[in-house]
Amino acid sequence: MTARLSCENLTLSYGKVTVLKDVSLTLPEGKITAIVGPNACGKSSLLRCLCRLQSPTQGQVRLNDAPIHKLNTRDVARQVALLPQKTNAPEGMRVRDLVIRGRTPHQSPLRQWSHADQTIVDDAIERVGLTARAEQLLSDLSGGQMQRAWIAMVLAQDTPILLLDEPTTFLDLPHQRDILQLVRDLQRDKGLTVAMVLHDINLAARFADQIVALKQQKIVAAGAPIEVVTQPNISEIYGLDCAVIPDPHYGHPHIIMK
Amino acid sequence: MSTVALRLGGASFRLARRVVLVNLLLALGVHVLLLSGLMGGTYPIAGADVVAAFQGTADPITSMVVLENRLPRVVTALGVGLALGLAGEMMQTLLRNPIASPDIIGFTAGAGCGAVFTVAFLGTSTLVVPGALAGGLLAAALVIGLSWQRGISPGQLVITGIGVTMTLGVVTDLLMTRMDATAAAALVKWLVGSLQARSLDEAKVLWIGLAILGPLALRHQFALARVSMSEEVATSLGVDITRARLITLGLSVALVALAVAAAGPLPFVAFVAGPIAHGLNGKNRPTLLTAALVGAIITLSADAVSQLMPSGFGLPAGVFTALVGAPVLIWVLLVHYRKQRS
Repeated sequence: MTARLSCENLTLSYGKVTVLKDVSLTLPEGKITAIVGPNACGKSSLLRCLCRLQSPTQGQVRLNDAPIHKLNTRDVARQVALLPQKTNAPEGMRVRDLVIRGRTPHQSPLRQWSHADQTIVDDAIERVGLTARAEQLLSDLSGGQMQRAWIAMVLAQDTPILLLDEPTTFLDLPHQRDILQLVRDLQRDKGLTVAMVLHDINLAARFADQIVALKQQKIVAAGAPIEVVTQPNISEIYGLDCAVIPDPHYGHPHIIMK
Repeated sequence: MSTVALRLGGASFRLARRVVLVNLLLALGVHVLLLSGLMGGTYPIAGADVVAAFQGTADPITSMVVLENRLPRVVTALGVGLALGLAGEMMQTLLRNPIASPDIIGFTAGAGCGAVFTVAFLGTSTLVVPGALAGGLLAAALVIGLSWQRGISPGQLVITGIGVTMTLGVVTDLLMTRMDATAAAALVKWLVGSLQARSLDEAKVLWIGLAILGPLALRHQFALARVSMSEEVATSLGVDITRARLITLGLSVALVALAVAAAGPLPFVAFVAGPIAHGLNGKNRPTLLTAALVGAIITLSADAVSQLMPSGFGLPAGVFTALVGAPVLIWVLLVHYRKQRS
C-alpha cells in the first residue's frame, strides 16, 4: 500500500504575513524526508498544509493526484497520519485508549472494536515497546514513553504516509535517538512514506533519506543529506559559520559550529 | 482496569466493566423509582393494584390516580431527566468545561423564554415545543455569536451564557407582566420546573422527541469523544470538527427544548448529571448513557420528594433539583479553579 503526497506552488498567508511562498514538493514514496530550517521559516506550516489541517492561500496539496482539501476527511485519514507537535490527551486516558483512537478512520459508531482493531492496536503497542504499560494512565508516563504512545496511535491508524511535527522536541538526547530510530525501523518494515519536521540538522542527516531545507518561506535546498548538508548551504540557510565533517560511525554529514 | 469486548454481528464495542455495572445499577434504580412513583405519595397504592390499573381491572379511583395522575408525572420526570442528562454531558464534553452546561450557558433560559413567549402572545400551549425550540436556538446562536473569538472559546462562552441567562430572565418577567394574574401564577410554577398536572399527551410529545434524539445523541458520542481531544488530532483522525460541533449544539438545544416544554426549566439537572456520572464511572468512558440515567434518577427523586410533602406544601420539583444542584455547582467551581491554578 503506497500513496503519493505532493504539493504544487503552495502559498500560505495569514493576512499580510506570508508563511509559505511558492513551495513545490513531492514526498518520495517509501523514504524519510526531513524538513529543516530556521525558526519561522514555515516548516510546520508546510506539514500542516500537507495533512489538510491548513488550507493554502494558493496552490494545491495532492494525495494520489487528487486535491486533498476536496477529499473526504475520513478517506484522507486512512492514507495520512499526523503526530502533532503539541500533544495533549483528555485526563484519565490510558495508553491503550489513546492507541485505539488511532483506529478512528476505520471505525464507526456501531463498529468500534472489531477483531482487526484489536490485533492492530496490540501490534502497535508492542511495536513501540509499551505492552507492559498499556493499561497505565498517560499522565504517569515519562516524556519518551509518552511520545512512544502517540507514535503507537498514529501506527494504529495504519496509513501509508506518516507526518511527524518535531517528534523529538521535548526529549533528551538518548530519547531523541530512540524515537528517530523507532521511526526509521517502522518505516523500513512497513515501507512507509515519512515526512518529519526536525530542528537538529545532524539528526536529520543521520535518519532521513531526503532533506528539504526552507528559508524565508521558500525551499532553498532539497536532496540527499550529503547534497544538502554542505558548508555553503548551512551558511546560507542558518547564517551559521561551520565545518561539515563525515560522522565517525556512519559517514553521514555532520556540522560542527564555529 | 478490566474491559469487555461486545461483538454482535457487524457491531462491536469495548466497554469498561465498571461502566457496564454502573449503568445496570442506575437502570435498576430508575425502575425502582418509577414503580415507587406509581405506588407511593399521599395516597399509597399496592403494587398489585397498580398492575390491575394497567390491566383495566382496578376500581375507578385507583385507575384514575395511577393512570391519569401518577403515570403522566413519572414518565414526564423520566423523559425530562434523560433529555437533560444527555444535553448537559454533551455540552460539557464539547466545551471541555464542567460548568458549560445548557442550564448555565443560556440554552435553558432561552427555551423557557420562548415557551413563555408563545403562551403570552399566542394564548395557547399547543405551540410550546416549537416556541421552546426557537427560544433555545436563538439563545444558543446569541451566546455563541457574542463569545466567538476566531472559534468557540469555552471560557468566554460560559461568561456570556451567564449574562444571557440573566437577561432572558428579565425578558421572561416582562412577558409575565402582560398576562393576567391567574395565568401568570400558573406559569411561575411551571418556570420553577414542575412535574405537576402533566397529561399523557404532553408526555407523548416529549417521548417521541426523545425516541428520535436519544439514539442520535448516543451515536454522536463516537465523534464527540474524538472532538474533545485536540482539534489537530481529531481532524487528522478524519473527524469533521465543525460538523461534529454543530450536531452537538443542535442535539443539545433540541433536547433541552423538549424537556423545558414538558416540565419547565428544571434547574441544575443538566449541570449535575455529567459530573456525577464521571464520579461513578471513575476515569472510564463513555459517560453519555450514565449521565442520562443520573439525570433520570435526579428528576424522579425530586418528584418523589415533592410528593412526600404534606398536602398544601406542593412544592414544584424544580425546588428540589435546585437544592441538590446548587451545592454541586459550588463544589465543581472550587475543584475546577483549584485545578486551573495548580
